[in-house]
Amino acid sequence: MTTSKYALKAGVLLQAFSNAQKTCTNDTLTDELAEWHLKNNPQCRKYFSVIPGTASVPGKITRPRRKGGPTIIIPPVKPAENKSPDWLARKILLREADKLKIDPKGLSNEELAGHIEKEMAVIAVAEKLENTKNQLRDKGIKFHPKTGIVKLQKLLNAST
Amino acid sequence: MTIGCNEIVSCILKNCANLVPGIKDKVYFINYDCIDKDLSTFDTDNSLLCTQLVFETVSPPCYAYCLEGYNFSNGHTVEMVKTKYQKNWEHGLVFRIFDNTPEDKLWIENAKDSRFIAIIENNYNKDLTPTAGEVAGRTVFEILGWDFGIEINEAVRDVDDEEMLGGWMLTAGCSDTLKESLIPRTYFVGGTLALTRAALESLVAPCCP
Repeated sequence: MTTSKYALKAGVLLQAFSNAQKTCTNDTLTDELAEWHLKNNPQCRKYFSVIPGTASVPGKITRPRRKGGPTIIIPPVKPAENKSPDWLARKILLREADKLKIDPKGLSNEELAGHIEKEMAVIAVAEKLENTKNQLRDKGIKFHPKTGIVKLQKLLNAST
Repeated sequence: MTIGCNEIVSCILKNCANLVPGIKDKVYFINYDCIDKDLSTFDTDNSLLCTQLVFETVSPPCYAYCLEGYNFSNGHTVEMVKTKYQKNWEHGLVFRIFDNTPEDKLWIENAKDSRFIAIIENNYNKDLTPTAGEVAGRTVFEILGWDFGIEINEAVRDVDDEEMLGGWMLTAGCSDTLKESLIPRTYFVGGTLALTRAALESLVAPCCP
């Protein structure tokens, strides 16, 4: 097995048409071959598990081996020296945006934070509405399914 | 005439090569979740020909674990299962463990509750002079359980059995309800048997000789 700074995913065979000398698996990969393939066929980048200077394959989310195991999220490539001061804030915002299924493309940190805040407020109201409905149902009070939160709150207050 | 799917579009001519039955003693087991189905590739004209089998990058790393039988003790069957509307395939694998150590028992316990795919190596290698579409080595490796994985359906140890002498006989196959949609896929990477072996070599676990 050759030693290389690069690593291919298990099972991958890289080939170049009409040049058998460029064929390699992870066991026969050298730095020169890896760089040649990455240069001549950038599409093959997805078959690499390690590319020096990157955490791993960019943006790749690996699944846990076993149920309940930790999910390892490898962040997108960003060399340390290029990190802006608000890089960490952006990272946190992106994580929140992902949870709330907000598309962060083209949004600045401030805009993204505003969207997240709005979405959280909507969720909070929806949760409050559902809780109120549940409480009314528990008490056997009938209401129209489309009744708003204010009227439902009044109904609930009147019953207590 | 327009050719749709599921229509016969080619001929099968007389095979002048002698068929060789059986599979090799070494079988490779891969945990089902280890397969990166997005990166694994199939021949564009024939979905039964797997041209690259790639593992997920996870920690701890995924491997193909081998099981070595003895004197052609492993066997494989494939059988069509006809239901009311569809026809599917039952992939079967019989293998034997001629030992009963705590490690073997742990292996069986783990395998019993898992789903895995198996790579088998046929004894039959249709050694053709390469012509268009026919290359030596395409009948050698096969992948069982690509769609859903196979599971251990039977594990028997009869200490009085004259053949097994107290070893384990295990039968793996599809689940009772979900059968495979296709015949076992052929595993043939890079256009030659040597490259297929090299690709397989990069999958196997360090414990595999």
